[in-house]
Amino acid sequence: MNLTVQARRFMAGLLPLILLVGLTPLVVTNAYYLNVLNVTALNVLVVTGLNLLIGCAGQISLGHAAFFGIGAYVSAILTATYGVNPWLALVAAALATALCALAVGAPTLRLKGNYLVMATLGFNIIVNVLLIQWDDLTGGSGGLTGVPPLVLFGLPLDTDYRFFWLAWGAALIGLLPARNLLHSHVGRALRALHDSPAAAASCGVPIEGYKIKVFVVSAVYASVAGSLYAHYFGIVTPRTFDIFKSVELVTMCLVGGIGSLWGGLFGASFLTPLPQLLHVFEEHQDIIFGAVLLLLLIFLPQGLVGRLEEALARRGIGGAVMPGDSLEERP
Amino acid sequence: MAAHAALSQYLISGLTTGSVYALTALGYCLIYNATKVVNFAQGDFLSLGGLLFYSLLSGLGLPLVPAFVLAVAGVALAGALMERLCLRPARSRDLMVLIFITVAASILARGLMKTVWGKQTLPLPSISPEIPLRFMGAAFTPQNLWVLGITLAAILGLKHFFDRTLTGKAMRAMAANPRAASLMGIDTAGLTTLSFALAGALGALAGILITPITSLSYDVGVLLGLKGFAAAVLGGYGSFAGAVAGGLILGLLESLCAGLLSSAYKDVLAFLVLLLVLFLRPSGILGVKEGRS
Amino acid sequence: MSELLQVSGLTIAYGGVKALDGLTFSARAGEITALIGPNGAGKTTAINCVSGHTRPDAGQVLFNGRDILGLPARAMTGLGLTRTFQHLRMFGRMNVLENVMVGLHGTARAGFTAAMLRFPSLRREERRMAEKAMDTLSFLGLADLAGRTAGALPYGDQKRLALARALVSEPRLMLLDEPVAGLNTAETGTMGRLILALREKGLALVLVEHDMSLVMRVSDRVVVMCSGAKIADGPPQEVQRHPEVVAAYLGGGKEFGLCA
Ligand SMILES: Nc1ncnc2c1ncn2[C@@H]1O[C@H](COP(=O)(O)OP(=O)(O)OP(=O)(O)O)[C@@H](O)[C@H]1O
Ligand SMILES: [Mg+2]
Repeated sequence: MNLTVQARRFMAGLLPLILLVGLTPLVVTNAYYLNVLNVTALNVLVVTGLNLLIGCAGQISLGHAAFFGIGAYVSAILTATYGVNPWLALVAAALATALCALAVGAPTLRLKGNYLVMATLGFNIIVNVLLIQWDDLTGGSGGLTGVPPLVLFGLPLDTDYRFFWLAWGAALIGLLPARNLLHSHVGRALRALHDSPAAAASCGVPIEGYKIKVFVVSAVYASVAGSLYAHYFGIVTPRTFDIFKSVELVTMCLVGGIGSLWGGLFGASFLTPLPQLLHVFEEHQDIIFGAVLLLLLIFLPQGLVGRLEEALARRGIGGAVMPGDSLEERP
Repeated sequence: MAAHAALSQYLISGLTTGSVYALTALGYCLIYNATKVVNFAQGDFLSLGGLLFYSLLSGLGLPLVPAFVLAVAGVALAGALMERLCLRPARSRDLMVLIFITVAASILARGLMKTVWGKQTLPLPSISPEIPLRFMGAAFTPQNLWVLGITLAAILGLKHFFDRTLTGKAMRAMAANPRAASLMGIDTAGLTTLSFALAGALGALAGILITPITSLSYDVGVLLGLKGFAAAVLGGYGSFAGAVAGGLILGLLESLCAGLLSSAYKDVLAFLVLLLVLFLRPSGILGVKEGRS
Repeated sequence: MSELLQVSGLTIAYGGVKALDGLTFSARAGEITALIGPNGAGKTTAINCVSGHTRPDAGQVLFNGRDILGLPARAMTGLGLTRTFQHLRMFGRMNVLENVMVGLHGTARAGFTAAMLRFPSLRREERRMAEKAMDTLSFLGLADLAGRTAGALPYGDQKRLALARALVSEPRLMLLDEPVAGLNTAETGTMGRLILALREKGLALVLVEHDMSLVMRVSDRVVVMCSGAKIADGPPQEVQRHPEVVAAYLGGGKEFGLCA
């Protein structure tokens, strides 16, 4: 009963969004703006996956830039160096990323406490240094060039305009499995374990297994976005995938609202163009960015959209989608 | 004979950077024990310490000792302010949010430091004149000795503080069980602020000591801070003895790796160690054994 | 009637303190076994050991003749053993129906992929779970609240919701940790009737409670604990006369005082 209401509400939100996205290229024709929008779409894709992890498993990853990077580099190397079909490369990249995520996540997610954030942080730095040092494969700090564009139905997606459709198509389609997961028994179980691991376990929730799976799924989201990124720009450089990018991605989740898919969408759409907007402040960009983030986290920890959803929930328009706080507990 | 000299050379440079990692790791420890928060701004305490010391010495022309003391006190104040202004008023007690508040504070702090001191590297003088010294065939400078000596003094001072003073004991009680401590009338809020101030002071020490050897700029603390973090995990996150051991071991491993294997991968080592520790023994060498969830 | 749950020799120490010291008791189907004792006697710890949340240092837990000690907590509902918690542990941000549906998680067949792609099998299962959860809510008189956010409910309703969550998977044994603590007289009465109704259904119930009048009214057997050990065990009337228990009442108060 209630669940289908939630599903319908999600669809009701999605349709205007599709319309908005569909109409945008008619209005925005400037290549620079389109480029910003395309990058936004890729960020939305990563953040959707990341939000599943943060919102559901209650764990932060500071390694999603690395997964994004592995996707981009595996795609770039396979296509540019070895001439593999880009779509095939994308799948291979996703598999490679999934394996990496499993290797990092499986040992650490079994532990109590915030060990994932430590492990992913270390992982991101290692991947970044490898991308720079392993230069016969990755092209070193200069990066790897000559990545071919993706081809869809015989049409090379080599312009900002063409890629726009793919990027936003992927971003919007990516929302669906995430939403499905949230509103299934798996999603409920994950939200439950965020509120009380002990009670969730009593209900038969395989906590560790779910956390690990969510982590791997969220890494695959990042990987796919990375592959698209590589084919769009035609070049990949290590700096794009450093630890600061990871911080930025998590920030997008937090600013929008922890674990809220709409929040992630908003966070990515708000923060991706922000540096371009803050450009007028030049040197003071970091100060403004840091201060805004700080104030939001202190005074609006549920995020901008999360706050809105709470207000709606209080008026009886649907329950809050996800938990924000969790209490330390012992069973 | 040459191999011998090389080895003592690695030992000295390893212990020097190791000391700095240890000081940094102790800072993480203090804040973690008080709040369970991983403080991502710890590295910025290092930068700020070095920068303040530089300005007090070169800008204001203060003598060495007052400049040193004021720089350390300044960063301690910054640490306390960070707790009072950023973490205390936070609406959410969710650890994730609190941890990210420290990330945001770090971004803001770096932005401010960049504006005040600029992006260029600054020449921070050593504590005493650079006379080359020799010991067992290894060349080093008095700065190496200062690093080792001051670190040792700081560690002994901390030990005294925790073992002998009432405040230190209260802090340990709070780390063990915050609720019980507060029921017993311990001022946990005040002690939390004090923990941040102490972490700031330790960060400042590390920054003042290492930047004459490396270089000084607004973002020098980022990598050092992350490595100090790795050292803290290696030692057992939250354990003071572990932080010292982890820092020294990591410093030695790094200098051996750079000397014997490749300096290109030197910066990876700390994080490889971090991952290995998390996979094999997440409680670190000296930490309390962590239960499975 | 044979014992559904047999606990013997449970021992666990925290630091130097023995929270459980060779505790032995059993519970039967269609009976209410009360576990009473002063604060810190080890009642919750005993439940945690049976439900797989705590690993005792020594002892044995047989459920339906099978050794379940060492099994993870999540395996228990599949065996037919569920519990409630002293401190509720509601999933506060979910609505009431969802809370109860989580209680059915152990019965879900569909996996991760099915959930992400929303296979028809998953939809069927979701519907089945929702219906089952609604049935349980109706049984406990909570059906009207199905759409409400759990964390915002009055305490009394949350207590019943906790019962619903444990009941929905049709367990054979339920461990109830202080189900009426904090409830007013009327609510306590309702909860008492519900517990008796569950007993009529043939469930085995282990009831940890401080409310002596409820315990004496509903229990078939009372196990008295003190400092982790059992000091008396028998029908309520007998236990009430037990000298150690009388002493522990400290002059016949309603609540347990200190150990004898
Ligand atoms: N995880 C733990 N760590 C340390 N001590 C514990 C732990 N769990 C329980 N104890 C101790 O074990 C003893 C028994 O606790 P328990 O919670 O089982 O008591 P109880 O009988 O349920 O009390 P109450 O009626 O207050 O709920 C107490 O002294 C408690 O402090
Ligand atoms: Mg109890």
